[in-house]
Formats: sequence, C-alpha cells, structure tokens
Amino acid sequence: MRHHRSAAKPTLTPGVSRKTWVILAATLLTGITLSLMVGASGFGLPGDATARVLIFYEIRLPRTALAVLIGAALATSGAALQGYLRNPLAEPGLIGITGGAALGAVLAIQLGLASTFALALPFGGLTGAAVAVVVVMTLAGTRAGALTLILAGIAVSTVAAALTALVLNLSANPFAAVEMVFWMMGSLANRSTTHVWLAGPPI
Amino acid sequence: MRLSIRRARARCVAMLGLAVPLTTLCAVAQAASPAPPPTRIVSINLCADQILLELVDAERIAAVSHLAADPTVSAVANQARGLTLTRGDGEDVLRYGPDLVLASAFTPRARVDHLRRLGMKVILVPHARDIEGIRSAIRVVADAVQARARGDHLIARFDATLARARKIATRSGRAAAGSKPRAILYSVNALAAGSYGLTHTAMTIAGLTNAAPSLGRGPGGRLPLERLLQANPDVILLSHAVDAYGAIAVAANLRHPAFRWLMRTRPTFVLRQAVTLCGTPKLADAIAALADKVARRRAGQSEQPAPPLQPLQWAR
Repeated sequence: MRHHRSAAKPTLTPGVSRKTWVILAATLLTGITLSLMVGASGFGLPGDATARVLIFYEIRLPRTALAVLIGAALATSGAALQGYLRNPLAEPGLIGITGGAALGAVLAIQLGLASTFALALPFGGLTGAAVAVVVVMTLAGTRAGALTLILAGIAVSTVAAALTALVLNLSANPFAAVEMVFWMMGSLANRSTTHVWLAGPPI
Repeated sequence: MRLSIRRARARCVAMLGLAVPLTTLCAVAQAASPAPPPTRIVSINLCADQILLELVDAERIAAVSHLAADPTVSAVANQARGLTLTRGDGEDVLRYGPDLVLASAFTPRARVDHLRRLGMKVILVPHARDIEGIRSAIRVVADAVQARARGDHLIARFDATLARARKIATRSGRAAAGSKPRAILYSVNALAAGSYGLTHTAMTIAGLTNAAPSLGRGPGGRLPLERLLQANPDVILLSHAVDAYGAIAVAANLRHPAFRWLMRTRPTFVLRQAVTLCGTPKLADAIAALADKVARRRAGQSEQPAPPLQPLQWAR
C-alpha cells in the first residue's frame, strides 16, 4: 500500500500549496503596510503632531481595516457561492445581492430614513440584500439548478441597477451622478472609525 | 420691343424714385418710436434669472428657470416665489409667448438655435468670472430689458458695498498683527475652491488668503482630507450648511470626525454657494458680511494654540 504524498503532509485546504499561502499572506501584509504609510499627503506622515495623529488614526487606519474586512467578506461570500453553485464564476454581484443592497441603501437615503438614526443606512442595505435574495429564490423556484439561479440573479441585479439609477435621477440631489458611481463601484475615501464599528460586527 | 424696354426702364426709375423716400420715411419712423420694452420676458438660465429679478418687476416676467426657486443655488429664491418656473426646453418656452428670452453661453447651442428658429429674440448673458464680469452681465441684461437707469443704480450700489468690504478688510489687516488668515473653502465631494472663479475673489476681498491653490489638488479640484489636515488652515469656509445634503455618500468628507474637529477648533464661516455660483449683485453683500465676521474674529482673537490631541480621545 502506498501513502499519497498529501496524506503525509496534511494541509489546511487541499489543493492550495503552502507556498501560495505564504505569498498571499506576504502580499496582504505589504498591502496593509503600504496603506498605512502612504496616503494623499505622500509617503509617511507629514505635518505637525496633531495632523499626524489625526491622519493616521482617523483616516488611514479605518481605511485599512475596512479594506481588510471587506476584502475578507467578499472573498468568503464568493467562495461560499462558488461552492454552492458549483460554478467558478459565481459571486454576490452576479446573484443580484449587491445590486439589491445598493438599492436598499440608496432608498434609505432618498426617503430620508438615513437621517433618522445612525444605523438606518446599513439596515437599508441589509434589507435590500434580503429582499433581493427572496426575489431570486422565488424567480428560480424551489428545485432550481445552479444555472437557473444564476439567470434569476442576473435579472434581479439588472433591475436593481436600473432602479438605483432611476431613484438617483429623480432625487433632488445635485450630485446624483457622482452618487451613482459611488454605489456602483464603491470607495474607501473618507471612511472613519464609525464605519469600521458599523461594518465590523455584521462581517 | 424698344418701346417696352423704354417703358420698363421708366417704370424702374419711377419705382426707385418712390423707393428712396419710402425707406427714408420708414427709418425715420422707426427712430422716432423705438421698440417697446419687452413685457413677457422668459429667462432659462439661473444667472440671468438672478440679475433679471433685481432689474425688472414681476409683472414683466413670464417665467424664470426652475433653479431660481431653489435656495441652495439661488440667492433670489424669495423673489422667485410665485413666478412661473420653466425647465427651458423649446415647447415650454413657446407656451409663454415671450418677446425676449434670456439664456447664457452655457445654454446648449442647439436649444438657443431652436428658440431663434421659432422666431424668438434670444440674448445670451455672459458668465461672470470676476467683478468686472458681473458689471458687464448686469449691463447686458439692463440693455436687453431696457432698464438702463435701474442697471446703473444696481452697479453703483454693488461697487459701494464692495468698497465698504475692502475698507473693513484693510482696516482689520492694519489693526491685527500677522499676515492674512489662510482659508480653505471645503465642499461636498471634497471640492475646494481654486484660484479661478468668484469664490477666490470673494475670499481675497474679504481679507483672507485662499490656501487651496498652493496645495496641488487632484483631478477635478478635489482636495483629499489628508492634505487639508496637513495644510492646517486658519479659517474654514463652507459653501452650504454642513448637513444641507443629508446622508449622501459624497458628503462623507464633511461628516468625517477629522473635519468636524477642524471645524470646532478654527473659525468656520459660511459663504453660500448661492452667491458664488453666479455673478450677481448679492455677492457684494455676502463679501461685506464675510469681511465683517473675519475682522471681528481677528480683533477678538486670543493667541492660544489649540490643545494637543491624544489619539481616539477627542469628543465626537
């Protein structure tokens, strides 16, 4: 009887070599360091003492923390969906969930709910995502295969994107176009520790 | 044949003979009674609206643009209440049967040509980039609506208010020690006022130095929050109330704790974008008010530096 090489060396995830792990971890650490050291005011922390403290703790640190958390969340949800749908192209955007979340967040802002209490915006986003999931499951049916689910997801994400554009166009907000780009693409500019506390626990 | 030519020639000469006195009569008649002042004026541009509303009574205005009633961008929103608002497209303007339409160089050329083809008289009001531009814009509108006297009076009052603002700024500059306070106007979407435009002029006349041009802003005139903190301005200017736009994402830079700290530890004044978007006579009043506030602040200023900060300890 011959032992396979993999049985002699148990790994965390079969198929991913130790070398890949090391490279990925090193890249992550480099990214974190660069994000903390480099900013709009150049390399390092220029300016006087108070400016340095503010820039590091209130601008660069939340930005880095959010980037790590959001990246981890996207990667995990992508991997989970790929496993469930057995399709390497699957990701939350494809299934219409991110589109639904963006629509929920934009509606929360335009209907004025976001000004009522601080967590209204994330709740709006999560509600939108939940509604999108329900709609996708309803469209796909109870015994849907992976392909049907993906098709339903594409339909929901297209409609959500169109509705988001419509809501922003009809709003009195003069910055509607810029706002639309923000919700479609995302941005880590001007994030603060408040956003880290808001986003961290759900993630 | 020869007879008909002679007769034709005779007829031509006769007609010519009549034509000259007739045209002279017409010209004289026109000079004697000039075109009546327009009584159904439609303005489809915000800047033209604001000057028009100061020069002409509401009875002569058929419609103004829909932006004139929006107080965040219009300094004459109160005066525009009760007037018909239009979005400015051809059908809409035709409905009011105007005898004069005021537009601007920024109105799409296709729309202007369309209106002219429909037979309307369209005057393009020049966009004002500096104080002289405001005066010429007022003159253009005053000529178009035949309110020359009122236009001259408006310009005179505008100049007088500006002179008063300059005097306040010079006096406070002489009284207080040190150079002019460095100011940055920070707005939604991280836009900071640059060295062109009326905001810069307003800040300079009111006795402030605009610190933004020397900072090297990014594309579109955006100033990242880090650079704003690094620049450490003495005065912060806002172009609207901080929460005027609610919770929209692009106003995140104004909600950021670091910016709020800046606002708390430095004198913060509001220079409404409603007076700087368009060059209007109301700008002079705004500059005078700002100069007054800056002078008062400089006079009553104590030389205490802001206390040093520990991380994560400042009150939110």
